[in-house]
Parts: sequence; structure tokens; C-alpha cells
Amino acid sequence: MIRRASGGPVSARAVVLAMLLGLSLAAGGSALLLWSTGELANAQSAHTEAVRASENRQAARVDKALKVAADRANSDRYAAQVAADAAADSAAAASGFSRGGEGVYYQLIDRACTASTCVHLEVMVRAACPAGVHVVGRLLRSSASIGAVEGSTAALAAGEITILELAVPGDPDTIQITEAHCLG
Amino acid sequence: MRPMTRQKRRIRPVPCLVLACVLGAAGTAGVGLAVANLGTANQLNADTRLIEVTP
Repeated sequence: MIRRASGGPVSARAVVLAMLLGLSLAAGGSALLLWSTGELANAQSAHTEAVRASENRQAARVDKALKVAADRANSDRYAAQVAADAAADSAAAASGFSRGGEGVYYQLIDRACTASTCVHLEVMVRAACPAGVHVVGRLLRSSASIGAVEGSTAALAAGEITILELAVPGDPDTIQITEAHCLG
Repeated sequence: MRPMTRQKRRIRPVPCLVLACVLGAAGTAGVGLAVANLGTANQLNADTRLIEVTP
């Protein structure tokens, strides 16, 4: 038996027991702390990964939505363009014009020639042609090609109609316009 | 002449008890921190699951 300063007895066994208890608490607490720190690190890592994946999914969704919207807009624009082209073609055809190149229409007209033999074309454009319209024709006699004619108009504004005279060499019985397109 | 007796090693009670208290307190604090860590980890895991199931 040993004695405390105050005089009360403290058994050596109690002291040893207290030490053992303290030691086991410290060891257990340390082990638990280490384990829980690992668990926390794992959870933080998984959380960060999930947040990154979620952000990537969100970005992909936004990209897809933008692409769909852009495709739809392009498709709408293309459909509107096709409809406008068809309407313009119909209107030109109703006025007797044939379709040449993109947005270019022509028709043969009777008119007095400035040269000996010629053909007159009325040329109409839907959009402006700053460098004019170039026309090429094939000259045929008895279905045989005997030459070609070509000529260009001056600059044309959108919707403008002009008359183009092409001098015709030889004595063809048919003139086929093979090309009529906007320059520039 | 005093007889030769085997001297018994005595335990000093007060420092030992103080040390035991310090160790116990450290262990208790460690357990508290561990519980806090586990709580945070659980919360993070729940958030992670929520993020993963969100389309």
C-alpha cells in the first residue's frame, strides 16, 4: 500500500489500471483517427471525381443542345432558301423566263439587231451581279453544232432585267443557251 | 548493522495518474476527431451519390 500526499491510500493496482486504461484509450483513439482520416480522404476524392464528371456531363449536354439548335437553324434557313428559290423560279417561269445558273433567268425576245444576225436575250437576276451575267449559247443547224456565241452584261442590281444582244455568226436554225451565270 | 533487505521499487502515484489522465484525454480527443471525420465522410458520400444519380 502506498500513500497519497493527502494521506489517503491508492493501491498500486489502481494506478497500473489507470495507466492501462489511458494507454488503451490513446492507442484506440489514434487508430480510429487514422482510419477515419483515410475514409474522409477517400470520400473527398470520390466527391471531387463525381463533381468533375457531373460538370463534364453538363457541358456535353449544353454542347449537344447548342448543336441541335444550330442544326435546326441551318435546316430552317436552308428550307427557307429552297422555298424562296422555288418561288422565284415559279415566278420567272410564269413570266416566260428559263432558269440559267443560280438566280439567273433569261428568255429569247424578238428585237431589231444592230448587227446583221443576232439574238436578243432578256436577262434577269434575283440577287445583285456586280460583274454582270455571262451567257454562252450553242449554234445548231439541222441538229449539228456549227459554233457558239457568248456575251456578258454589265453589272446588274438585284431583281434587275437587262437585254443582251449576241451577234450570231453563220446561219444557224437553232440557238441553245447552255450557260447563264452570275459573274462575281 | 542494518540487515540487508531487498529494496522494493515504489510506484510514484501522482505522476502516473497525471500521465494516465493525459493519455486518456488524448485518446478521447482522437475518438472525437475520428467521429467528426466519419460524419463529414458520410455527408460527402451522400452528396456524391446524389450527384451521381442526378441526370
